[in-house]
Amino acid sequence: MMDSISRDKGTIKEKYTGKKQVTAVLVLVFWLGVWQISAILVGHDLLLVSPLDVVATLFSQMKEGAFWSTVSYSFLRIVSGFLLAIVIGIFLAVLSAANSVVKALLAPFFSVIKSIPVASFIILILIWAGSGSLSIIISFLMVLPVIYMNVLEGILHTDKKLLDMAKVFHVSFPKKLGAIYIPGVMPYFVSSCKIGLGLCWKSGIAAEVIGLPTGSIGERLYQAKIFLSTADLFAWTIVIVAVSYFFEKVFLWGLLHFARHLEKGDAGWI
Amino acid sequence: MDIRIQELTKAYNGKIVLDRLTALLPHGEVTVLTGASGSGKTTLAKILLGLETPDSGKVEGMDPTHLAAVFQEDRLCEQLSGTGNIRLVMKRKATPQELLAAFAEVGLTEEDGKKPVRELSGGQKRRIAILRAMLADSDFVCLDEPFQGMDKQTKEKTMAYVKKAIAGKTVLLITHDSGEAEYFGGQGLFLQPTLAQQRT
Repeated sequence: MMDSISRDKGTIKEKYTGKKQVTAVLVLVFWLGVWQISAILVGHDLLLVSPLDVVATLFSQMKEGAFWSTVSYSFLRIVSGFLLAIVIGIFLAVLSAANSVVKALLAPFFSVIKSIPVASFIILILIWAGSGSLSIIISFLMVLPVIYMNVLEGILHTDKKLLDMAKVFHVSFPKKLGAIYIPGVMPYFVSSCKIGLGLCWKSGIAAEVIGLPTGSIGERLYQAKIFLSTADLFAWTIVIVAVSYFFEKVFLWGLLHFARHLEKGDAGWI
Repeated sequence: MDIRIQELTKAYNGKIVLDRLTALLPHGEVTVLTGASGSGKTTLAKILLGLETPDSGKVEGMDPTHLAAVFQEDRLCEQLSGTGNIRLVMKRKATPQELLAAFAEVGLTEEDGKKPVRELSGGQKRRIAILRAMLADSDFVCLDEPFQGMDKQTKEKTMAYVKKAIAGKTVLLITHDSGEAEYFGGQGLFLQPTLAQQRT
């Protein structure tokens, strides 16, 4: 009886997921159709290139060796900035949670970072550090406040009753970290990573377009603008969206895998 | 060593909860703490467990490194299994046989111990909280309404296990249930709102 119910539930779930996927494909096809028809109506590649031309441009670029080195150049720099922001953001959040003086000292620093326009930062970093490390620093600066504030919020909202329990039973710090702090902070951290992943790509590529580091995606976008190549512009935009989407999926999968590992209590702390 | 509570006073926002409470918790025995709501039972437990600081007075004879408690709420790590929650507080390595035997004594199965605690019923969670306190390395155990939410049969079984497990330990049992008080025996400590008195 239970088996048949769970089988039915499984079938319903599969049907539901399948229906959702079909809907998503149909929506995509609809908008590609709108784009294609609009391109035909406009009738000028310079103003609006057709999706077929974009795909053709993309495939021809992918055959070049320079394409992959350009993608990896920007990917490595932007992701490095993002990962560095995670490490430093968590470290500063832990320090702030432990010491109110540190928290008070850091508050104006993060308020300033949050309110300064990214373009100002880009120009400032270009003057201070040059274009080579520009996207690393910009990606880092945009993600850092998001990670810091969310992780700090998570630490400050850790279940006090569980912490009291741990105090009574004299639970060691590594065990407390694994069983109480990390599971408590994890939802805040995952949410900040989702926001940060979007931010790091947008700000990192914007920085490259302004700073024009040699061999970057930003430089290729700028060249597309100079040569009025709308197909190249669209093709590189698709590449950015695809790479950031792929990285986001892999990164969040890893995070959720780690969270599940903790849930089972087999992460080595307990 | 006996636990000596001397002239303990605690107030919250100007409202006195404990007023110069003096009492003795004999070593290796159960003290049953009763009293109306708001009489300071949980406040006294928190002070003994080091979770609150008294405004005045002192507690002598406590070893703060060997404490265990069943709190009013279960206070379990919901993502961990029952055994994970117990292992979290244990300083020594518990064998699976030891854990299984303890589980069986309170009517829990091996399967119950493997599930994340959030998948257990209220009564099952309560028994995990009790097992955690019983299996922890402790000299003093504070039990704050430990058997709430259990049916009669489970409660009897769990009470028998607890009585055996606390032998030789200094225990403070907070309860409103006269049956529980009688079962565990020992001295009684009755608290009234802002007026404390001890009876033996």
